[in-house]
Formats: sequence, structure tokens, C-alpha cells
Amino acid sequence: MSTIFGFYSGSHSANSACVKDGQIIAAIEEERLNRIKAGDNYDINCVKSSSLIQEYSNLNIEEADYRIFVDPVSKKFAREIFKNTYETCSHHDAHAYGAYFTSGMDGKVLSITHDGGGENSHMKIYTCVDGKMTLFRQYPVKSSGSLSSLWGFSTSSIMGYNQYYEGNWKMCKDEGKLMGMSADGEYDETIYKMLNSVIDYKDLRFFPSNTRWKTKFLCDMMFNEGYFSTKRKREIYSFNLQKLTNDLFLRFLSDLHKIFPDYKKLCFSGGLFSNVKLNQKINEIDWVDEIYIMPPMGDEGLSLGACIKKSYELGEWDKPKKLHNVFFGPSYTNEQIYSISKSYNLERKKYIPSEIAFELNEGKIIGWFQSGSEHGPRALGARSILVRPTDVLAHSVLNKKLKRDETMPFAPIVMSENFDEIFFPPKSKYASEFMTICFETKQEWVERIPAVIQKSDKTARPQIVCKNKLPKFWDILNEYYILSNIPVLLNTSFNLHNEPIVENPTQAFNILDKGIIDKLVIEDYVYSNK
Amino acid sequence: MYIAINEERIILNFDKGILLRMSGPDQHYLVELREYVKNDEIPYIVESFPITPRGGYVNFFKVPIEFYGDWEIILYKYVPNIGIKRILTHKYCDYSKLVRFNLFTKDYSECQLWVERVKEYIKIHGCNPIVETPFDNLNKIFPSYYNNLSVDIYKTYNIGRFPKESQDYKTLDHRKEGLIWFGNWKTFWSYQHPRKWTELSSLEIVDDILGLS
Repeated sequence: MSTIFGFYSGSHSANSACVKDGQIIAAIEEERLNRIKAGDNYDINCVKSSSLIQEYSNLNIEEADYRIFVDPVSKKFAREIFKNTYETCSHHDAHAYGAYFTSGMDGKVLSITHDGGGENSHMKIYTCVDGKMTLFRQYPVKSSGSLSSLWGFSTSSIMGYNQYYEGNWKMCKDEGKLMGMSADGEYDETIYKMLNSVIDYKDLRFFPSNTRWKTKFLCDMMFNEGYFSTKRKREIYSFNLQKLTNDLFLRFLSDLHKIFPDYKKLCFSGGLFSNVKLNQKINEIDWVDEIYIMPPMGDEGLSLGACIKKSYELGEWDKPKKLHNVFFGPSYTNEQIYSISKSYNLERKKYIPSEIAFELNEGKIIGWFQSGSEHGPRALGARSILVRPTDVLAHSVLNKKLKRDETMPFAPIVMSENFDEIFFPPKSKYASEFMTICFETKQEWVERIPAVIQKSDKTARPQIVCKNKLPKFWDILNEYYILSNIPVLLNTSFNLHNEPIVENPTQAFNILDKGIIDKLVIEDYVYSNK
Repeated sequence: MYIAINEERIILNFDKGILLRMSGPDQHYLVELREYVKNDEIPYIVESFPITPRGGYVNFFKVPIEFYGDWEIILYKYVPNIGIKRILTHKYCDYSKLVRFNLFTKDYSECQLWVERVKEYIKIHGCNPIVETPFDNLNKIFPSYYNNLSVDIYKTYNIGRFPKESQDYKTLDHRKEGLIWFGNWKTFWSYQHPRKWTELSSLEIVDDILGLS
């Protein structure tokens, strides 16, 4: 049995992970530690994350059986730290293996990756049968188009540029805002065709190549011509961007289905699949039985994917498994937390779920800090902010308090027992434990939980909470359900504008101290300002 | 080579690197350099960036690659309500054009070998050659030696061993002197050599530069 460390130090989203004896020990992004969001910080190495993992897992990188760097490798960094005693893993293999082997899917599965370019490729397709993966096709950057690049460069252009000619919105960071706007737009044939002039699809191939420069060129010109000059115009642009993405990718899947008609389970990884609206459209395809998106779907999941691939090759990770959760970051004891809290002027009392549910029902904003931090971009019950979902103004109130400019509605968490009652279609529920797909909301619930529903298209991106997997999170939902008859709460990530999600108790206490949240549930205690 | 398309006036030159200069009514144009690699009908993107011919930081497109490639250069313009429109596609083709071959070697037998490969290139491409070597008797093999050398040359091939001299910003890989990195997916050893010339034989050097391998 082996200890494997994985590292990624690419152009953004550096991260480290550790898998031991076929079990995930730890995985964390560099941004959580250096406190600079990935999209704001290029060409960083996974220095802090690799050292932190050693610290809290009590495992030593130098003594590990395998050290895997995901391509592209920062060779200088790797050489300095590990004196060349490391292996490498292909970028898209790390994506594809990470997705498939955490999907829990049996039988015939397609594992598909797509991003803006990693290790000379935009995309790979693997056929997977009962734990064996075979590469079907690879799409080199030099000769194929990328939907991710279309989104990346649209994002960095749509809000104009600062004095250094950097986009006011950042690639690899703000694509979600663009997607959030899309629901409020409308079809515009001209804009759709203009976007289509940059990228198209035919015969299992997105083309032409060079999407990044073509999109930048188009968007710069459109910006100059005033196509993005008002909020409404930006909404229309993003609607058509989303529509084109959906249309092309669904055509691709339809053609793929003709080649592999028996493969009805799909798993995905790569930046494109952080697009929950695209994932929704894929999930709604009739012939698709189930989809799964690796929770850290972007490059932040590469080190873990590389560890999983190596573990599979060693026969220690023999088949796709389901993740219990993604709380792979460091956790803190009540004693450690109490000791940190003494620097603040706070009250502490024992956590009683019914009391917090009462506060939530009264409209209070509750910080929620439990267990190890989540791996990936979503707050899934380890570093969350909880609010009642019934308040239509919650979106603007939270945005104001957290100084954010989110365009997406905040996400609901829902008890697994009640999911079918509220959302549609009733499939790919495992993927929804990680908030990776949008669902339609049943009409009778739209008015009841307005704070978590996108008004224009009645969709939401729920996180299903299972009692056996997240008992404490499920409990608070249940207590709120008893009080309000609503098995849903609003869950947003525990961070201020432009900051990564909080990692340690100090960062959480700082937010409480500023009065941004009313109370903080942290492990077994509730803290509030005196 | 001068090309006129509507109001756009374009000058294309493959002689010392690949160069596109132009004038036109628009502020911005996008240029792409692609390469057809053997047995693949889909060209590979090599380099691309927008140019601002009416003034601006980058007002022409140049990629200083000097060795042979099955190059294709594409010019796009932005058309309101349509998007990006391709207005020019030009493939490198030296058929019937004047191509100059400068052979840099003091080794007579090596020069003889290179002359044979130059003849092979001429046979394949059908170009009109001007060949210059340090050896007069070899120069006289080609009738072009007596041509007026000031005529318009379509392409010049310098065949020899050339350490990399360029300080181009795209030379990112400092571990290997001379390795040029293009946009994350294409690397050349130097603008003159597709591969590391110090590790190549005489035959490989000439074949690499002339695309005969």
C-alpha cells in the first residue's frame, strides 16, 4: 500500500493532494492559504498547500512512495523541492481519472474533459467499463476549438478593462457571473451568429482552433461598438453565449451517443463543467441516465485526480467510488477554536440546532464552519453562510453585506428526502450533493423559496444533503423544516467579495467581528458578538 | 507580394520570417499563422495576434521563422452584426518564384551534400533558385548564379548551423538555450532550426531547414 502526493502548479489554481492506501487523505487549493483568488494570481506554485498537507496529515512528501506533478510542470519548482524524484501525469488524464473514479458509476461510462487548454489539449474522451479506462479521442489545442476559451475571454472583456488593460472581470474566476446573467437575457440571432463565427461544431470536433484570440478579438470589437454598454446588453450577450455553448455541446454529445449508444452515464471534469446551466441541459437529455461532475471540476482538482490515477495504476483504487463529502482540508478542534476566539470580544454557547433554526427563521445570517474545508469552488457545508430561503430580498441584502456582485442566485440546500418534491428531473442526485447541476423548480415551490430560485428561468442549483453523509448539516435543515415547513435553506460560500472561501477559524471570526454575519456555528459551539 | 481586397491593401513577405503589413479602413485586424503538418488535413495554429495597421503598439504581424513550413496565413476582420470574417487566406507556395539558398559551410563535402538536397527541393517545389555557397564550382551548377541578385526574392533559406540570437519575448524556456515556445503548444529549437542543430547530422540539418525530412 502506498502514499501518493499530487501537485499542480499551473498558470492558475495551484493545489496539492494526498492519497494513502486508496483513500483520500487531503486536498487543498493554494488560494485558500495565500488568500488570493486563483483568477487573480497566475503562475504560482503549490508551496503552501503542499506544506500544509504534510503538517496536518503527518505524512512526509520526501518519504512518500510517489510524488506526481500534473502537467504543465513547473520544473524549476519540482527540481528544487524534489530533486527530480517525481513522476508526471497528463493534465486531462488527471481530470478524466479524477472524475470517473469518484463517480461511483458502474457499467459503461464516458469520461469527458473540456477546458481552455491544459498540456496541449482542450479535451479528451475516455470510454470506461467497470473500472477500465480507454482513451477514445484527444483534441489538441493546436487544431481544435474550446468552449472554455470562449467563456474565459468573454468574461475578461465584457466589463471592460482597467488602466493596465486587465479585464475588470477575470478569466478563471468570474465566468459564473456571466453565466448568472444569462438567464435574464434573450435570444438575439445576430449576437448568436457573431459568437458562432468564433467557434462551431461538426463531426465530433469543435473548430476552428485559436478560440482564445478570436474571442478576444471579437469581444474587444463588440465592446468598442457598445454591445456591452448596458446591463441589458450584457445579459443578452451572455444568454446567447450560454445558448451557443449548450447547442454545440449537446450536438457533440448526440453524435457521441451515435458512436456509443450503450454509454448512458457521463462523467465530466475541466473548467467548462463549472457551468451548471450546461450541466442542467446535459442532465435533461432523454438518453442520459446519469451525469456526474467532479466536485473540484477545474484545475483545482488536478492534484487529486493525479493521485487517484496513480492509486488506480497501483491497484489500490480499483473501481469508481462515491465520495462521502469533499471536506479534504484542515479541520480544527473545539479547543483550538476556543483558544483563537479569545482574541475577539465574543460570546460562546453550546450549539443547539433548534435554536439556530429559530434564528434562521427569524431572518438571521448564520456562518457555518465545520470539519475540514471543502475541496473545490463550492461551499458544501463546511464553510458556508446560511440564510432562510423565503426572503426575496436575501440576494441583495447578502450581496451588500458581503460586498459581492454575484449575479447568480444563491444556492439552496435541500434534504435528500424532499428533493423530488421540489426539483426536476429526479436524476443525477449524487452529482447534486456537490452543487454541480441546475434543476428546474416545480411551480408550487417557486414562490415559497424565492431567494434561491433564478426568477427568469425558475432554476436553482441545489445541494442535496443526506443524513448519513452530512448529519449535522441535515439536522439544521430538519430543524428549520420543523419550524417553517420548508426543507430548504440558502447556502452561500463563507467569504467576502474577491476573497477565497475562509479556511481557518481566524478568518471566520474576522467576518463575525465585522458584524457581517449574526452568529457563527463553529464545530460544537455558537459564537456571537458581545 | 501585394494583395488588394476591397479597401484592404496587404503586403505579404515570407523572405526573412513571415511578415504581413497592411492598410485598411479598420482599426483592428486579426492575423493567424497556421501550419499544415504531413498527413493531417487540419492545420495547426502556430501564432496569432491582432494588429492595428492605422497606428498602435503592434501594427504588423511578424513571426521570424526562417525554415520551411507548409504555412498558411489568414487575415480576419470584424464585421458588425456578422462577427469575425476571414478576408484573406494565403498558403506559402514558391512554385515559379525566386528562392534564394545561402549555404553556410566551409566543408566542401558537406556543401556538396547540401547542394544535392537543394536540387531535391527545387525539383519538389518548382521554384527558380538563386544558390550561393563558399565554393565557386558549386555555385556554377545553378544558372541562377549569374542572375541579378537585387530582384524580388520570395524566400531565402539560410542553411547552416545557427546559434539562436533572437531575444524574442516568446523564448520562455531558459533551461534550453534556443528553444522557442509558441503559445503553449508549439516549440521550435530556433527560428532557423526546427530541431536542436547540435544534435543533427549534415543531412538532417539541411533536410530540417528545407522541410525534406
